[in-house]
Amino acid sequence: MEPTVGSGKILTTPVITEDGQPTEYETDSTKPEQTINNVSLDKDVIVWKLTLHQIGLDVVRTDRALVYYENNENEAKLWDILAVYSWIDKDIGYCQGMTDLCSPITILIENEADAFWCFERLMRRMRSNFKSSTSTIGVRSQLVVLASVIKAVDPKLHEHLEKLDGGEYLFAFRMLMVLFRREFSFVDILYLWELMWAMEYNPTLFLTYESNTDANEIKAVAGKENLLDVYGRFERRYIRTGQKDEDAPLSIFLMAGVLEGKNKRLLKEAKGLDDVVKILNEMTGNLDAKKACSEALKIHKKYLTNKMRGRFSDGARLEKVVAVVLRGIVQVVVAF
Amino acid sequence: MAYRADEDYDYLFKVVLIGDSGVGKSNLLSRFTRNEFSLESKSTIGVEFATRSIHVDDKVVKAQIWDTAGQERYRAITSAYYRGAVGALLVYDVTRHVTFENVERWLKELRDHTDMNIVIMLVGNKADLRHLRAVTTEDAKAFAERENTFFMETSALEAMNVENAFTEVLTQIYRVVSRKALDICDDPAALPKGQTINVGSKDDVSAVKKVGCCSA
Repeated sequence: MEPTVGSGKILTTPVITEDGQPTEYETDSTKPEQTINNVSLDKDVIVWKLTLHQIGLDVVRTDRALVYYENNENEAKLWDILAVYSWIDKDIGYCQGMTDLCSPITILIENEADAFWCFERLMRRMRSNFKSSTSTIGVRSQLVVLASVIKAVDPKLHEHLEKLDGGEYLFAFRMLMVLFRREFSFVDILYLWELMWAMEYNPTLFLTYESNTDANEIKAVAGKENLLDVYGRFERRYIRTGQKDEDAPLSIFLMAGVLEGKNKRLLKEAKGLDDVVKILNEMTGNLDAKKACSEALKIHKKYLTNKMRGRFSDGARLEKVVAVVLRGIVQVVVAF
Repeated sequence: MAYRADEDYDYLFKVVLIGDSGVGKSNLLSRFTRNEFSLESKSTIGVEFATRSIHVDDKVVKAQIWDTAGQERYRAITSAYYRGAVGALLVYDVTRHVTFENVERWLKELRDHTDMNIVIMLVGNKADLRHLRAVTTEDAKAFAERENTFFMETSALEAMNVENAFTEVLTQIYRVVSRKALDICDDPAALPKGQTINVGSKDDVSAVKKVGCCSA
């Protein structure tokens, strides 16, 4: 469909116009196979071809400090994986940030096909962040959860941040979107991701990744009590507290931990969004993955405890209301 | 002259950087705010912000500059991005004609989402790559005149015109704002303290006039 895919080369200029015509850059070239482009193309094909050069533009800006990418074939491998992915997942296609997630996998897994499937599984976990409509982008729902976590564990900080950016928490966009890739060195991010994914481990995870898995099958696995030890530390707490409906990943609590760690400075020094960004940028290269994760677990615990307490007090209130109503009914009955 | 702390300014203006992916928006920003340029710069994910204060007349103007990812997909956060913007640098890459072709679309989006008084400058970046030039200065100048925007060619790498481009935009915003202030009342000194002057959308503190800021 596009001869560049798998050829060891990448595209950085558009090959097609929005109405499906080959661009001048392409017609200028002497490639004979371009003549078949005169056939009118399927809409899916046009959309896909339009993203190819965008992938290329980002590939040449990904992990440039690594010797690995001095080799054009390695560069092409990253491009191939993302090009094929954007074809098989048409809902998501390609979105800036995906090169950051894909690059470590491309480097670690030598075989291109294996690397592709590994990335595809990672995307099952992450894809909702990248899903966009005309009015919003998926990661924003995680930012909403982050705001509610900060509101629950540190209301004063939340109030301050809300004043600065209307509670959008856009300054945490990148961290959640590419799992702190930009805040850690290449080697440290491998360590952090492994730690995070181990903590988020859930024995039903792989079943949920299979689209053809029966929901009962997942329930059967999840229901086994003796499996509790198998869960990662983070995931286990959701199970223990019976809050399985929560779908907030560890990355949100990592971010909350970072904000908490900078709490004093943010309250005192941040007078604008740029100050927040400046203070947060200082974490780059200065975060300890292990410490950051244990901070995140602490906040997670605090958040869930607060929430349960909130639920209990709601329950208590409900009991009072019921009692008052009952008393009213009794009085009415007695009056009769 | 009296000592000024960082946060002392007379005006705060929000300026946005827009344009296709890879035209050099982030490097223009880092060149202007930190005098830095990186050949290994990464794609922008989400939004970034940086500030710098400059002097216009005898006033301190602080620019809060927003930089965003160029991919069309990220237009989804547009409303937050454009909210309250009073200036915009619309950047294209002089070596890639397609980025100039898309300027029209960016301009439309900008005008759809911001106040009509917004100050826009068309910026042709990477002007140092003379042998690769694909967009002529004349074409861009004609376009800018037609669309009633300012125009400048820059090189973030060689630090050419970067300072000028931002300063020009900020100065023009300042002119719009001070003219507005004069329209409101003949005697600018009679302005109530801390009054917000909106040249952008209605709901933001985009152009804040701080009166008597040096008294601290």
